[in-house]
Amino acid sequence: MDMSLSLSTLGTASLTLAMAVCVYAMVAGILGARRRDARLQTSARYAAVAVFMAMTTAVLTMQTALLTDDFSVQYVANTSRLASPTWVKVVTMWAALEGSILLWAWLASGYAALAAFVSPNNALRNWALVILNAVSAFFISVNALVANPFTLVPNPPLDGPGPNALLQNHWMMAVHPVLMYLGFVGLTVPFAFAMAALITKRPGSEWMQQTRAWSITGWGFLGIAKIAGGWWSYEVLGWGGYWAWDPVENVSFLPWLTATAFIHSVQVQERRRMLKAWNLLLIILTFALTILGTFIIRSGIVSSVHAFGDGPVGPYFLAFFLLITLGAFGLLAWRWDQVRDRGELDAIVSREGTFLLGNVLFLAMAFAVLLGTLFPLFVEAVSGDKVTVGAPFFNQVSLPIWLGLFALMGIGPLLPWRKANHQKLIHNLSWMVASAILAAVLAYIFGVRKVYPLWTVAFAAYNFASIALLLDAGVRPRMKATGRGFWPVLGQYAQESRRRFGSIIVHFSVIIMALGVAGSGGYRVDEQVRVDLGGTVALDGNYRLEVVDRFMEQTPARISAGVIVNVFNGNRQVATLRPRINAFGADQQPVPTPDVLYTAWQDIYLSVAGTVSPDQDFVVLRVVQSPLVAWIWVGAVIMGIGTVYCLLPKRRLVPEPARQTALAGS
Amino acid sequence: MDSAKRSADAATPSSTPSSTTPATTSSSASASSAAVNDPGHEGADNTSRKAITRLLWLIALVGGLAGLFVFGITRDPNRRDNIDSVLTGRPLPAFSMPLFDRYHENYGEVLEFTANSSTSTPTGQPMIINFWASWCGPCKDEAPVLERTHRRHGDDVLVLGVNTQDRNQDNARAFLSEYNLTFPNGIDENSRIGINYGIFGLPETFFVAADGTLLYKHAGAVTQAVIDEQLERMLPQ
Repeated sequence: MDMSLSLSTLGTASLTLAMAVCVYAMVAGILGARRRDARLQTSARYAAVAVFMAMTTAVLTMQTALLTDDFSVQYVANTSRLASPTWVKVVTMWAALEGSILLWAWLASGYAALAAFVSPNNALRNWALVILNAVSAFFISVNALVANPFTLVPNPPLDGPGPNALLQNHWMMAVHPVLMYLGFVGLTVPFAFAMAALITKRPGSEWMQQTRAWSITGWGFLGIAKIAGGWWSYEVLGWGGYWAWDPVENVSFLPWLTATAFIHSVQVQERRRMLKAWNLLLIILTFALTILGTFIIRSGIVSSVHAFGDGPVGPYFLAFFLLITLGAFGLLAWRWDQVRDRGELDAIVSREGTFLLGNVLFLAMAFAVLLGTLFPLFVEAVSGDKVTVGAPFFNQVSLPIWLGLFALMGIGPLLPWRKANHQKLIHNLSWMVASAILAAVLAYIFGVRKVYPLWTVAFAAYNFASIALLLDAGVRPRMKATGRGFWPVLGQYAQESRRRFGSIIVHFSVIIMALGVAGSGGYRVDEQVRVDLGGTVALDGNYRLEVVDRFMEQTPARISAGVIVNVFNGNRQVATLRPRINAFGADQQPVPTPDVLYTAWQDIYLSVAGTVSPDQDFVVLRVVQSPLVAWIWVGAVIMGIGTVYCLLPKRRLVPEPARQTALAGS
Repeated sequence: MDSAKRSADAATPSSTPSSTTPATTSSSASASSAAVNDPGHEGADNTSRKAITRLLWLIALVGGLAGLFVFGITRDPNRRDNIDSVLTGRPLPAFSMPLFDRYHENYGEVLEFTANSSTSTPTGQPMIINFWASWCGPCKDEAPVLERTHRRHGDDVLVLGVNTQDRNQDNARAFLSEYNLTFPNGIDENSRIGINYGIFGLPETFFVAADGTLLYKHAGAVTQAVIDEQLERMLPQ
């Protein structure tokens, strides 16, 4: 037997060590809290860091195995390949189940370690760490017990099949899962502090003020991750769309919906000391839905086009989901009398009133999406019949809810807390409604005749007017008071009210994205054309395609065959697109790589449909023209900027020169 | 400091009945079980009865969900994907399919299937049409089953393989040699047949009556049990 340390052994050992230390951290944390033993509590905090270090070793071991093509490690043998470029080998770590869990466990342990050292030392920290370590322990144990990526292959193959071709096809696949997990893991921190608040009977606002940055970070990552996934789908799958209401998409949408409700309703608790129980409920729900989603995706209980397959981890995730729902909701139910609100809503027409209504709408949408996703399973369990719930149901349910949310999004930030001044409300609303009507009429004249796109345009104008009114209300009094011009005052306002300004940026981005969805959803043209080489095709709006030639391309990792197409707008050539079909390795199904001309008003999207071969003098192309679809991607970037802006630390209020004098004086 | 001020005013709203349990004010570390066993004051009975009712509701709800999910993971994954074909009970679309070289001697170069003619299937017998590709894992599992069926029942049933969505024919030929498939296999050029038959994954197997109508479509690898069950329907006793 070879006695040298193999990567397989090192990896398994790191996982086992991480698991053991993690369990120790939990036990030490619980004992430390019950006995009020500061030394045990400190030990638990250092143990959380040790878990992270052990997990980091495991991750580095996996990376070494992937980069050195060590096929004696099971995961490498199953999912990697000699010919893959280096970046693909790195991201292969999260291209399949075992590695994804490893990434998740690593990030979870990293957040636990970070929380152990940045959280203020108070009653909540200790229990929150116990919960965070428990969550890490679950994920590490999935790796250590049921899906060990480091299992030794006794007779290693010379090469492996490589990761799923669709994942090798686009760099976004390197980013999307990481963002997703950062979102999930980020939202685990407020969950852990919420549980700590319930356990220690301190259900005030402390837990959520301490985790505000974590919540917004997690929420931001989750939202960006969803859109990144949509963009990947658009760039890679060849159907020219980005969202299909597939079960896998739906279940990862659910925690985003409840998290969005949460980041709004915590503000009501912060200001009005209301909705305490509601906020606890939302954060528990968010975390539970994260685990439920992972269970649904990984167990394959609902048919989906996303091929994750029937993994061995399904029952394991189900057990964890049941444990969380029973444990966390059970504790909340037990403590209900202590967390229930005593205060009452003064008036529905107030900031908190709109936040509450918005919350109801977000939850209604989450419920409808969950129901639609699980309905086929339910019917089959009851009657044995097969049904499918498709996009029409989800669109019909969610579009009116979105419109309701847009209506609230415009008016909510303009209303004061407690009770609105009716005169002011009517003044603001009349500006906003007038803008909406004007925009809708203009859109109608320019040819927008479909109901939902018209409504979206109307609500977009309504919301832009709302943002203008908000800025006006923030800037005008300051201009009067200081006598300075608009721009310097706006800059100062933006720096002083970072949360307010950040939220305005995020709401603006939501409207931009809504317009993108309305345009591309309502007015997409999708056709399949057969073109002879050298031939041309006329498209909608002055565009024309000219098929120039075929081409072949070979890199060590793939063979591609494609078509060179010139795109003309009028008589001007605006782009040359090269859609192609790729084959990665011998055992995989070929996948298309569409090519897209991005423009502000509409995308021209080409995908090769059918074969490209030397003895064939025609090609079949799928041509999709999507108006405004680029607005979604731009909107996502703006949303990210707004989220970061919310999180930036407040500028010191003392002006720089004054501070320096003060320092010099001291 | 901003955060210190906040947590100070956050601690005050223990305005609410958390003060019923004396432990709260003094200790952060009071274990949850202490509160559970010792609610303390009068009216506590009532409170804990309400809490128990709430817990029972929760357990019922979670139990229902758990039942649904356990059903979900324990059912046969093949059954999950077997959505009835819309073609069931109807004549299948006609096709003409070039066969691989190795079958030319016994079955000719091209196999014609015209369900609408009076003779229906090519040999006037019931058929099993199997769609496969060389890259598809479950196709490898079912290949021996199909070959065995052909050897046992080849006189009564025409077993037909359709190679579809394969990248090149060399892979397909290697597959045929590896499993030594003696029933006729042909090439689905440009995936035409697959599209006409509405396949959405591989493998899929169509069981066809002698008159050319579809009896049953199976998604996923076929097993001997599935084939035996269908043969009973297809063959006169």
